[in-house]
Amino acid sequence: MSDYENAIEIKNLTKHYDGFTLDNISFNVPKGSIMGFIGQNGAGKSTTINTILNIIKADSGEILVFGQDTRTADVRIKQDIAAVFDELPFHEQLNAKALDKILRHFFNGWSSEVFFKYLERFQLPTKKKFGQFSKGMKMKLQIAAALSHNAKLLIMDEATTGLDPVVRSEILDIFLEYLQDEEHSILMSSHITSDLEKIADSVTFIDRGKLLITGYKDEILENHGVIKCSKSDYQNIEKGDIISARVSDFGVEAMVSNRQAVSAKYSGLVIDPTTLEEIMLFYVNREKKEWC
Amino acid sequence: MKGLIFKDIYISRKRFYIGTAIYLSWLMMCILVKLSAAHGNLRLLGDEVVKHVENVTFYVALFGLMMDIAGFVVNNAESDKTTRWDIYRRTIPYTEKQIVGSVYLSNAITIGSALAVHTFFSLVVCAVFGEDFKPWFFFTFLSFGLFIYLINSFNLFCQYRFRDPKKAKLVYTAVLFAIYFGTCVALSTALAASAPGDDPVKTEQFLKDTGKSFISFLKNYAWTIPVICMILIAVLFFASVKAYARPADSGKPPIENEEKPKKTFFGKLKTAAEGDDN
Repeated sequence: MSDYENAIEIKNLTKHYDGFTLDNISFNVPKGSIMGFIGQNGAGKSTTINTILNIIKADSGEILVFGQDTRTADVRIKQDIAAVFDELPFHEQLNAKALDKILRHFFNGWSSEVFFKYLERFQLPTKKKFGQFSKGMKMKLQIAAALSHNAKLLIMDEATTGLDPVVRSEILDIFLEYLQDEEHSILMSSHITSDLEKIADSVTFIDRGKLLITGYKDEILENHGVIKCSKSDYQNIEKGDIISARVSDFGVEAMVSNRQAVSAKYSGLVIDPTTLEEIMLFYVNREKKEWC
Repeated sequence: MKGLIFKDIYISRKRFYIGTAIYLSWLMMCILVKLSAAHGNLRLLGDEVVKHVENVTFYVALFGLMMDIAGFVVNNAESDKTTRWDIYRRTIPYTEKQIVGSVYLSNAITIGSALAVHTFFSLVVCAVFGEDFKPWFFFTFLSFGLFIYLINSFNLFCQYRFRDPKKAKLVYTAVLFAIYFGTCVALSTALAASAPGDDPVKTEQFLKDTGKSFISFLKNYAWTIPVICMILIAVLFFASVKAYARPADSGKPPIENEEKPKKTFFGKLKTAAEGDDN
């Protein structure tokens, strides 16, 4: 694998389905970082991930993984990619020991020792069939398998959805360990924005097939803010300065994407820091402009 | 490909245990019948009956048990689809040829092993019944094994081509029925042409001539059966690789994270008949 700056580079990715279009998506996942990929259900996250993994073919655009075009790259590139899906893709009749026997022949870098250490850490039984695992156990198993062949890129599609906070926290710590040597990268799609706020370096937000925001998480949070004001004050704000506004009987909350400029323009207004979840909410309602 | 082969055989192992248990049970029964005919109560039925029973039991042990080889095929396409292993499989570092090839190899291993075991036990049966193991026995086992391999290869092709296990089963079953009924219709038509008005003499003559032609074909051209089977298996292999190589969403694409509307029975039949658009 030659030197590369970005683990994943996506340029003008487009994919059409009946009733849905992934429209001109472009973003990069820098080497050694975690990219949080957020969006509602049906936004296009899984479609994007599936095109990166070459499960489906894009209609147009370019996808580079480790600097190589996925359409023409040698299949050996997959040695360094680990995928984690929202559901366990292994047969229910298998157990961890059998899975180890299978996967060690797939990946050159597979380490049974590392795999069983993760199983021990996650308190997963080695002889119990996967059909008897709970959802949390299945997800931990997938992650253990993904982390056991020294993959340079971990791609996760809603991997932490449905897990309890304790398990999620444990898994997020493991991801931070995984990234320590700066050779590993993670692309993680989720609509649990609090997880991404904890660990993501950069964030890409997609909605209804369109890319809305991409960039460093801290910068995005720094630039965005929520104006909390009365309805009368809200009338004085130009609609072009806000993303959308939540109007209630008690007042108005309006999201802005350029906190400094808006703060200078409307000096009397207080602009509070925001969260990724709020950003997502307000952007999703951007076309309505005002919602409740 | 070792991992893929191990996975396929591991998933199918319960079926193999059942097939082995059935085989051994029937084999034991055949041997017990022979022992009873030689030393037990069956002797009391008289020499002619005993000889007839021994003869039937001998051929059941050889060719009836041969059918058990069909239980050793490997075809996990449906469970692969249900568990989404078919999606995960696209992320592992194997080419399409290797992935499809692993299934073919798994089948070669399991059917080949079943064939070898059956040949061995056939030798034992021949020894127990005091019969010679004729070369055409093994030729029949081999041809049957290849035929089963061919049928399963066609089933696999349907799974890769149509992606939906139900649709694949429908097409696979429809084609086999078409071949079966087509053969029946062809024979009936030939019989009707040779023996118009259901003339019993001409009917008997037709059946004798057909039987003679069949035996003559087997005597002179039997070797073509395994050769044709192998050629068709090779064709189906390459067709399967091509079908598998299509992206996972070719044909009717999935709607992201939404449930598909339920179809009526006739709606499902219509969709299955239409197949994928490719």
